[in-house]
Amino acid sequence: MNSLYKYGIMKNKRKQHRLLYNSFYVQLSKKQKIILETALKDDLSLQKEKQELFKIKSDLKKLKYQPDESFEKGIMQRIKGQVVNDAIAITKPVFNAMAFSGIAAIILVLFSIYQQDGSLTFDILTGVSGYSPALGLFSIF
Amino acid sequence: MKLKHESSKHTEDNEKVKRAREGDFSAFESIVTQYKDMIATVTYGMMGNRQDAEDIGQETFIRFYRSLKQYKGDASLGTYLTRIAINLSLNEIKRRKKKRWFSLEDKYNATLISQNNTTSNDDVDLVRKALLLLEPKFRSVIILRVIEGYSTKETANILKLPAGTVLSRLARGQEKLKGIIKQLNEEY
Repeated sequence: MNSLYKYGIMKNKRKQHRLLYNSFYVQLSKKQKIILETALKDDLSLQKEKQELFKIKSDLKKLKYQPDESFEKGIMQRIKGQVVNDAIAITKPVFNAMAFSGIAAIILVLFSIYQQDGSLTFDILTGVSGYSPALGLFSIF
Repeated sequence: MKLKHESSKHTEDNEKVKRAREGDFSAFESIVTQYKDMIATVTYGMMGNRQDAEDIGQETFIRFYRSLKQYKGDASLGTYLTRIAINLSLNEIKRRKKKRWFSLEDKYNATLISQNNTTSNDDVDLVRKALLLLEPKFRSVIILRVIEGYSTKETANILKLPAGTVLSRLARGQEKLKGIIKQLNEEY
């Protein structure tokens, strides 16, 4: 009987504690309010706990942090840097396509010169292979 | 009145996001100016030191910038940014915890506490130290609900938890915090 009584008190205490903690953040029902108010009147330790919780809550609210100007500047610099990188990333495929088609055109020209003249000497490449000083520049045509 | 104010703020924020999406840097800068203190407070509370708080705070805005197109404007911008900040902080805490698998987390926290140990030993400083010794799941709830002043529903939404879990973590978290403060008070 005694242990059952003690268990009942403990259970009640836990319930009162929970109500106290919740009272800071939720709207208690009428019945819950009465239970808590009655418990607070009778129980000094619960009153003390309420004061402690109130103090912790107000101290917690003071934990604000204001970064200095470099914080915002750093963000904007990183974003602008990213925009430049993004722009490079976008133009890279275009640049690659242009470079590849240029290289392909050069190879094609070299191949057709080789087909036509049978070798790829400097004179052939520059178009002066048939040049005769006596005839002048017209000799190459 | 408050609802009307929040609604106009929401519309204003959406307008800024739209302009930022179109490449207007000043619109994004305005978002940063508006929310930087809030985000820094969240990351400072979670990480416990200025350097990490600012790094993660900056990363929050960079992530947001990268995902501007994904922001649909359903949630308020503050809630959206806070969710990114909390997730980044929790990931960083997890990553560090894994890295320090051979040592105790308390050792890491103790290092942070000693790094931040200023000459003043006032109550706010003590609460800050105690908060850092709290498990991240309780810490995040306390930061959002008590320090940032989000409602239980908003906190639940940010952390993707049921409202009941938020309330029970809040109660447990405060109970633990009270215990840690008592312990720290005895030590000093």
